This record gives sequence, C-alpha cells and structure tokens, in this order.
Amino acid sequence: MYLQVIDLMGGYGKRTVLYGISFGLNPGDILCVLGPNGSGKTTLLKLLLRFIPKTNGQVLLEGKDTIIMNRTSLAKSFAYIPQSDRILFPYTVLEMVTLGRTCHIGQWKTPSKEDVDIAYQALKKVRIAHMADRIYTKLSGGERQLVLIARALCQNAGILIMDEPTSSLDFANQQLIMNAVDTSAKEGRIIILTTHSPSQPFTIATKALLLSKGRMVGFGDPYSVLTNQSLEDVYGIPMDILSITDRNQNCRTVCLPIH
Amino acid sequence: MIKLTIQDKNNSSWLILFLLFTSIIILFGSLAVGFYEISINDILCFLFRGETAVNDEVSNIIRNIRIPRIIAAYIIGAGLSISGAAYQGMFKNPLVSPDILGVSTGAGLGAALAITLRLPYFMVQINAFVFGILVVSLAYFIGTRAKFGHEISLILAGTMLGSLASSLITVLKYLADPNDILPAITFWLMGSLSKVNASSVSFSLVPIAVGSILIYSLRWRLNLLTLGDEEAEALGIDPKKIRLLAVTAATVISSAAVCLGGLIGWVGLMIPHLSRGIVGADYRRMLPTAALMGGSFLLLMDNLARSLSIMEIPLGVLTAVMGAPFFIMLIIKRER
Repeated sequence: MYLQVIDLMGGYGKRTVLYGISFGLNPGDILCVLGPNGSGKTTLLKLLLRFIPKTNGQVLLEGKDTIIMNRTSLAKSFAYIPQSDRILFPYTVLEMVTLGRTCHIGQWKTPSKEDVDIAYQALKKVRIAHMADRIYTKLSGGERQLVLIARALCQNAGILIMDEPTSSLDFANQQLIMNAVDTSAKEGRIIILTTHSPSQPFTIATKALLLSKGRMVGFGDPYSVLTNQSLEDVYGIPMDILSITDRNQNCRTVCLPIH
Repeated sequence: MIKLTIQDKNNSSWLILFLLFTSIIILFGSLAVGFYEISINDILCFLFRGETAVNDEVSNIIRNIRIPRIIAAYIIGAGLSISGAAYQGMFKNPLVSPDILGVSTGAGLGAALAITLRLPYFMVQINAFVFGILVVSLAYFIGTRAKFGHEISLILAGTMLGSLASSLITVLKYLADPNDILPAITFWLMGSLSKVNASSVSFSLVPIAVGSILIYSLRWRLNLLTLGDEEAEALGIDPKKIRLLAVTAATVISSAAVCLGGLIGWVGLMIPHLSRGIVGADYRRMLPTAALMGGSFLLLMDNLARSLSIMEIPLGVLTAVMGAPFFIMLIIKRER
C-alpha cells in the first residue's frame, strides 16, 4: 500500500489552515508530524481521514484518489486512534475493540462470533487480553490508548493515524505505546502520528514532517528535516540536537531546548 | 449503587428471559387491579374459558377498560425507554431524556390546541402526534443548518422550540375557558391513562412498534454514535445518516407515547440509565433490557395510580415522584 499526498489544502469553513502539503509513504514507514500548537498537525490528520473536506490537492492510495471512497471502504484503509478522552458510556474493553470491526459488518448486522475472536486477537497483540472484560471508562490513560490501538488493529486497515498518542502518558506507558506502533509498522502498515516531542522522531520514525503556520517546512529523513536551524526557526527558541551513547553503546539522538 | 453488573452475554440472555417472564406476570396480574373488584377466579375464567364464562359487567370491564389500559401503560413505558436510550446514545450523553428535541412539549401544544378547539378525543391524539413530530422536524432542520457542532445545534434548536411550545401552551391555558377547557388541558398535560380505550391504543401501537424495530435494528451502530461523530466516521459509518434514522424512529415512538398518555416524564431517562447499570452500555443487550424494564415499571406505576386512592393520581406525577429521589441518588453516588 502506497500513500501519496499531493498539494493538500484545507481548513474549517472558509478559513484555510493548511497549504500545499505533499509527501509519500511506503508500507513500514512511521511518519512523525511535528510543529508548534496551531501549526496544523491535527488539521492534516482530519484532512487525511476526511473529517473535514479538502479544498485542493489529492490523497492517493495506491494511485487512487480517496475522495471517491465511501466511509466504509475508507475505514478499511485508514484507522484512526484518537486521544483517549473519556466517553460516558461504560463499554467493556472487548466491546470497545469489537467496534473496530464495524466496517466489515453489513449495515443492519451485528458482529459475529468471528468478529469477536478477531477483536480478542487484537487485544492479545497489544498484550492486554486479560483486560477484555474490564470497563473501558475505568482504565488509566495508557490502558485506554492500548485499547484504541487494538481497535484500530482489528479494523484491519493499512494506515494507522494517531493524534498525539503519547501526549498525556508517563514514560513507561509511552514506551509501551511506541512498541505497539513499531510492531504495527513492521507488519507492513503505514503509521502517521503527531507529536510534541522533538526527540520522538529520532527514536521511532522513518520520516518526519515539520509544519509551521500551516505550511510544510520539510519532509523526509528525520535527521535531515529536524536540524538546529529548522527547529529554531519553527519553534522560535534555540534548540540543540545531541548525540549520546546509552548503556548498551547504542547511539541515541535527543533534542533539547536551551535555557 | 448498582453493584450488580452483568456483562457476560449468557448471563444477560438469562436476565432478559427473566424480565420477559416478570413482564408477563405483571401484565396478567394487573388485570386484577382497579376500583371495581374482580376476583382472580373471574380473571382466569375470562382468560381461559372466554368472555361468556363470566358475567357481562366483568367481561366488559376487562375487555374495554383494563386490557387497553394495561397495554397502553406497557407500550408507553417500553417505547419511552427505547426512545430515551436512542436519544442518549446519539447525543453522547447518558442524562438526555426523550423530550430533548421538544417532542413532548410539541405534542402537548398539539393536544392543547385540539382541546381548545373542542375537537373529539381521537383528534386530540392525532394532533398531539403530528405536533410532536413537527416540532422535532423543525428542530432537526434548524440544527442541520449549522455548519459545525451538529449535535449541540440540534439540542439548542430543540430546547428553544420546546420552550416556545410551552409558552404557547401557557397562552392557550390563559385564554381557555376555566370551567371545562382549562382543566382538560391541565389534566392532559399531567399525564394519565384514564381516557385510554381500544382504538386509541391501536392508533399508537403501530408507530411505537415500527419505531422500536427500527431502533433495535440500529443497535450496533448506535454504539458508534456514543463515541462522537469523528470516531464513528473513522470506524466506517455515516453518523449523520444513522442519527437521522434514529431521531426519526425515536421521535415517532415518543410522539405516539405522549399522544396516548400525555406527558409522562422520567421513564425515558431513568430506565435506560438503570438498564445500562445492570447489563452495560452495549445497545445489543441494553435495548431489550430497557424495553422490558420500562414496560413493567410504567405498568406498576399505573396500577398504583389507579388503586392508591379513590381519586386517580395522575401517572406523570407519580413517575416524577419516583424519579426525583432516584435521580438525586444517582447524582450523589455517581462513579467516575
């Protein structure tokens, strides 16, 4: 599955928020979208998922424009993992994950035993099968995020789109989510995620996209897109990109603002 | 408060069977309740050996008064619970009641208008039904004009039209003849089943049944609406289309229920909430549970309404009296 975005433009009503976004991704790619608040990260995700209509440009999936797809077939290719804000209805974890099967179920039908099995397998994959009967609304933020990833996995889509998947999680949970992301990509999916951590692209991403005021500053290899200069230009504060060696003698890249 | 939760599918099928059984017992038991004393023996004779087995007066009361009234109470309770459950799901809010889009006050206005014009009883019913649907359609039309915030615009439009309808009712009451019209309007608005007869029940039965079947067949997709429009879209449905279907069905149900029994509050809010507490949020289990519990509850309430005192207590007042403490408890004991 090859995803190509050409000159994408769009916004809310008459207000254009995002201009001229172009990039291409292959199976296995993890794209980190970076940029200050209000730079258009979330808008980009919304345009890709067609939550808001684009005003110009194209989103091509294996050369086919996604504008002609209906909701159901779009859901078979694009899965969305929102920030896990609380819903008010006490679904169980398994029910929540089974909702991901909806695009494979007929209009008036309910999930079959097989659909529930697939949902259970997805829970196993993110290692939370033991939580299947717990109430989703009573889980912690990290657990909820894993449930939503499992839901996206059983949707069986080639592209996972995640809105700040690690923003409100502690270190350990962030690592857990990133492992799940990494595994999903290795299975041949395309992952697109937004983040506020400029170090994150260096650890997991194969591609980075830097946004500033609705325009694309750069796209490509994280090391070439995210430089001292580009980050300083976009965020307006001096930044250092440092190479360090961890206890296993692996070279790591971190990004730190300078006081 | 409700510590008993049944998430297991097998257990909840047993629960639904149990509720069905209880409903049947309550339905038949209610035949014995009322001002005119009818013995259990007479009821059994009527049921199993036909009308001729009991004297004319008894068979007349059972056939023309008790059976229509029992069916009315049951279908209103079940219908309001189903439509309340649907409204709660599509507005992502477990504290929404069926009249959120102004269906009850709209129907009330229709009824008050018909009573003022001294139209016959069945015209009052038809007028109430039509006005209920009319107000919601108008709210829906206004709500969908808004470019963003589909649900919130709908609720605002519904609330606005509801209060407009209720002030028009006040105008009608103000101008009404205080000797006969005013008490008739007031009594209708209180909610009562005392004027129910076989033909008014059959008029409301069809829309309630059709609407309920439609909502039941949407049960899986209603789950998705509770997640919000964007998530629902990402999971592969068109939330606006599903919401339109659900609003239509729920409105037809509650309009038919209101035009049969007047304004009976709380049931559509309380019962879905209670059933969610017992079987969980999944509409596949929650809808049948709510329908059976709602039917039984309202029938029991109506039995109390017609037997607690010599003068009949308005049913709407009774459900409110029961509903308020329940809700206060819910607010205090609310878990995160």
